[in-house]
Amino acid sequence: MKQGKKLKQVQPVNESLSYTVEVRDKEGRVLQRISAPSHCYVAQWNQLIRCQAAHATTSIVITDGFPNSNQEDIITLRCNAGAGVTLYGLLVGKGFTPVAIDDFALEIPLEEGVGVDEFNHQAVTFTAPAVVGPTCSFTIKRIFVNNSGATISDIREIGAYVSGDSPARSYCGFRDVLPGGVTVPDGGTITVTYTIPVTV
Amino acid sequence: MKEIWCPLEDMKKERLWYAIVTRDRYGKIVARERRKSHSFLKAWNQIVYVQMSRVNLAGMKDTGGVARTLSIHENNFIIAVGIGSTIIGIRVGTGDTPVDIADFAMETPIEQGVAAGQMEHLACTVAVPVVAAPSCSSLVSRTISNNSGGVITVREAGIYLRGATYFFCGTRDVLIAPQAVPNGGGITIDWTIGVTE
Repeated sequence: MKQGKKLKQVQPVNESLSYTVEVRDKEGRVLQRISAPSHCYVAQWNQLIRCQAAHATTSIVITDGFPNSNQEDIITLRCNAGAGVTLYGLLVGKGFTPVAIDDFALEIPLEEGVGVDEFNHQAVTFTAPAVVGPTCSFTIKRIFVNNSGATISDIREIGAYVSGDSPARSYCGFRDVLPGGVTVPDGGTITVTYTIPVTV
Repeated sequence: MKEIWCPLEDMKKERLWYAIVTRDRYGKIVARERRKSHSFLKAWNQIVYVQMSRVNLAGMKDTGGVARTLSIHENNFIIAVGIGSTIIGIRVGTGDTPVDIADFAMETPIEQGVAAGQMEHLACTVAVPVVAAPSCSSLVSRTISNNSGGVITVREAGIYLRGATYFFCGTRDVLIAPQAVPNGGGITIDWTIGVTE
């Protein structure tokens, strides 16, 4: 691991949603790591759960900002995006406006590609739920590869888009603003891992 | 009146909390309790996992203790249910064993009916979420009446929900103070599921 001031670590937490962000250079050396509690389920997450729990249509704002009358569906909460897919799954962005409960999207999400400020999004992966003591948790992870030919700097936000009742639109389930800007060198990667626990 | 009643402002910071009100046959409140719920259980998180990952999950214990394999399904998470049904919705019971993350059912659930030790379950509803910064919360409610002819003491409460064609226990709490529900009276449970920025 590269030594230096860029390495930043915050105490991880066990009892609520939390995340880890790790940046590596093209040789795989860790340049930066941030672990922090996530404050930030947003309203759409709860609205999707309600839609399923009540089996009743619920008005929910999709990621383009328009409300949709969402119905219960087999793909609700879908987050297992494949490589290159940015409609749903974990995403990163450059926005840094503090999270609000009614946020419906990342502020400035970074797109798929090899152009300026674009990442190649790898497939979202999961670990199965595991019980440790009074907690049951699972993780969601995605690696973003910078093949843009230049450094991508000032990454400030991360989050998850999930599906509702249509494969063609998504909802923002949670969003976090990082404590500082993250820089990914050309050829390097940024890996975002969320841990979703419940604790008695 | 027995009262364990946390300030609502404190409760709004929590992700899951409940309020229980016990009334006598005349509608007079005889006890109430409101506090943080400790207790989303393993099954709740497993259903979230199945829906997010779209991976089948084997070995999930249903409310009968039978291991099931859960897959993505439009029925996953259903809580709302009509009068008299106890397969899903809010349940109460008489068990008081402390909650464990692996609990798969109420310890001693009270069944539907008017015989000794039974109660009559009204509809369980799930309200439209309310967004009031910094939170978004949804209320799950049910009133359960005691027409058994005797007093029934409730010591636990929880939420049963659907996973595909099976039934699972999503939350369970042991009450701080047992609630003695008089004959002709009822107990109302309001469970608030919230997220906070």
